[in-house]
Amino acid sequence: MLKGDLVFSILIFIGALLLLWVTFGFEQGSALAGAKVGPTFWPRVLLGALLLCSAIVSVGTIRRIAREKAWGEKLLTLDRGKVRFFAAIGLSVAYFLLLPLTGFILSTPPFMMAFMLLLGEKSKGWIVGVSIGMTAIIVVLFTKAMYVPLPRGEWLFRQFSLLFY
Amino acid sequence: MDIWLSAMQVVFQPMTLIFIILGVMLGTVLGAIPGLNSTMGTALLIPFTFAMSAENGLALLAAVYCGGTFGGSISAILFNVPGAPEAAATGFDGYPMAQKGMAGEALGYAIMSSVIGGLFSVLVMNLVSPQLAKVGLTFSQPEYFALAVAALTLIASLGGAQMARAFIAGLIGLLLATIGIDELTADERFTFGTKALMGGINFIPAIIGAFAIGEILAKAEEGKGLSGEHLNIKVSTKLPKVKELLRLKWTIVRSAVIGTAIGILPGVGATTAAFIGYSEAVRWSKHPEKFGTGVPEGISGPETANNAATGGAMVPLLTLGIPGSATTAVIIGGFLVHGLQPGPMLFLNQPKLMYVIFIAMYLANIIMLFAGLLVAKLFANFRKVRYSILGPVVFVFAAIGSFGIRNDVADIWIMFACGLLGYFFKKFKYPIAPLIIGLVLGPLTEVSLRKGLFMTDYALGPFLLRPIAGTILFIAVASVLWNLYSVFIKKGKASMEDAE
Repeated sequence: MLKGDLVFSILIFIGALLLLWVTFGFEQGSALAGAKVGPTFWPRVLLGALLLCSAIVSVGTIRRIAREKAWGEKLLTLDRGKVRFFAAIGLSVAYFLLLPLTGFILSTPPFMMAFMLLLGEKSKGWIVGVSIGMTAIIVVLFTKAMYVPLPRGEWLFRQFSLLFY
Repeated sequence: MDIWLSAMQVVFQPMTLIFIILGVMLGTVLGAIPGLNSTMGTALLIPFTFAMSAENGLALLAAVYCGGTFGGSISAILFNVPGAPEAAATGFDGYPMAQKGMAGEALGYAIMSSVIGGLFSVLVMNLVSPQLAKVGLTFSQPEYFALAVAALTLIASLGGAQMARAFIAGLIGLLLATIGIDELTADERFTFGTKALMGGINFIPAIIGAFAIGEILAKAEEGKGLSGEHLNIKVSTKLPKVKELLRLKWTIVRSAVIGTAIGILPGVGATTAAFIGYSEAVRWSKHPEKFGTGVPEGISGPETANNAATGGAMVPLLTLGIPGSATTAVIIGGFLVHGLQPGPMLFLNQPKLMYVIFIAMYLANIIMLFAGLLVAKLFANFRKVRYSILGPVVFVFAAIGSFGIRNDVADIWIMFACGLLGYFFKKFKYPIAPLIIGLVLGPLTEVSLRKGLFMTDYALGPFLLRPIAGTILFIAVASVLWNLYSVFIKKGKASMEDAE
């Protein structure tokens, strides 16, 4: 855990450094190029402070690792929890990619079913009932009652969604 | 007195009462569902009010506004998904309290604080509206900057001994708020050429992601409690006893004043009011280290302030015709469909209507007590559902709630990215609240600072010489220094004990 903590704070430090470099591209063509409080002023103040704070946390973590002699600990152990975590991320990414393509109605029930199974739900009735029922409730509530549009998808999927909203 | 009696005759007609009750119920339900809110509700109801009398129509819209501001706290407390942005700060202590098995108590504190905050602000609104509106208009950029800084100093208190981590979280939040087109120069910042980022990061998907998605991913990894065997609990809303409320009296009074004052300031709104209410609750507490673990003050502080902001936001609307918040801007439409123009002339030409709105808002806040209990009971039942079912349902609501803000899938990705950030923050013990505080207050802080510096010829000194701004900044800086001092004293003691 301590090594992961160190990696995270170092990543923040490196990210801040990279973003600081990115700020030099902001003022090109700006009406306020070179002004005292132009568009780069505030981000640079923040990034400077972020570099300082992440350095403090990194040094503090290194000192803790040395004190607790934790240099030998593994950075990543692939137990069941981690597998579930990465599967949840994969499932979420697949859902977000499918949502604009297949629309809300066709992508949501399979996603919910898969996620419920992933979290260890065993009751098939609950899995199917809640997935389909919640999708129907959301469609009615958002599109019919509140006129909030949901993703419709593309091509044939769009035509299918248009049958409902 | 005649005008009061005549307005009461209108409000206590059965039809008007029904509209107010329906308005509060609808507002509370809309507020509790992520992705829907009272601004949306009032906008959709405006065409319906066209067929009503102006009194009934505006009473209905005011009732939706009051109910909606409270409703967001229900889902924030029960599921850590704030139904509305103004409820984000309520979740900081509301959700931990619910996790301790005290969801009913947390909801009770939220309801009572909302009712008191709402009633206080309506009282202020109807007693000193014109005078307050004039004071509000004297606020300039240095005062706005001082207010934002005062709220940001909360970050120092939230970190406890791990202050550097809290600052990192806050700075990342402030940095996320800079993404998009610069408000003052129209330059693109951190958009990396993508159109989706040009509009900036809306804080609602970010809040939903950091809290809800981060939690779901963490739960998936832990694998504990997913089957729900621990959920054989009865969640029934318990209103706090008078003794418990009296214990919170200063938090409630302070937040009611803060919320009303902030609500009056055009464009600041209930979300900022809630964060400042929370911040001040922490600052004046004898046990600031307990905040974030589920303390009643952490619920009463923001919840009183955000509902007090509803009455406050109506002050500039009714007296000057300037909306104090997004919902009051929509309510202007409610006036216009009845051929009315809110502003100083309305008090002269339609005094009865003004008093009808005042009484309707008093009544709406009282009805909120019952509506809150009812809706909270309905939503509390979902907490009994095992997490292997509830998790995916919350996930889909979070995704659609984020999508609904701008009808843009990019907001879902922003939500997910913030969810991952929330997960890692949780894992490596970085507090999430400062990230959200930074994101919410970022635009106000930056714009008021830069505009203020333009005004003062790039000198910070004049900020301190202005009476209101100077006082707020002095208190804010003093509290950060006190926090730093306390942390170093504690660390010093700890290292001495280690040495012994």
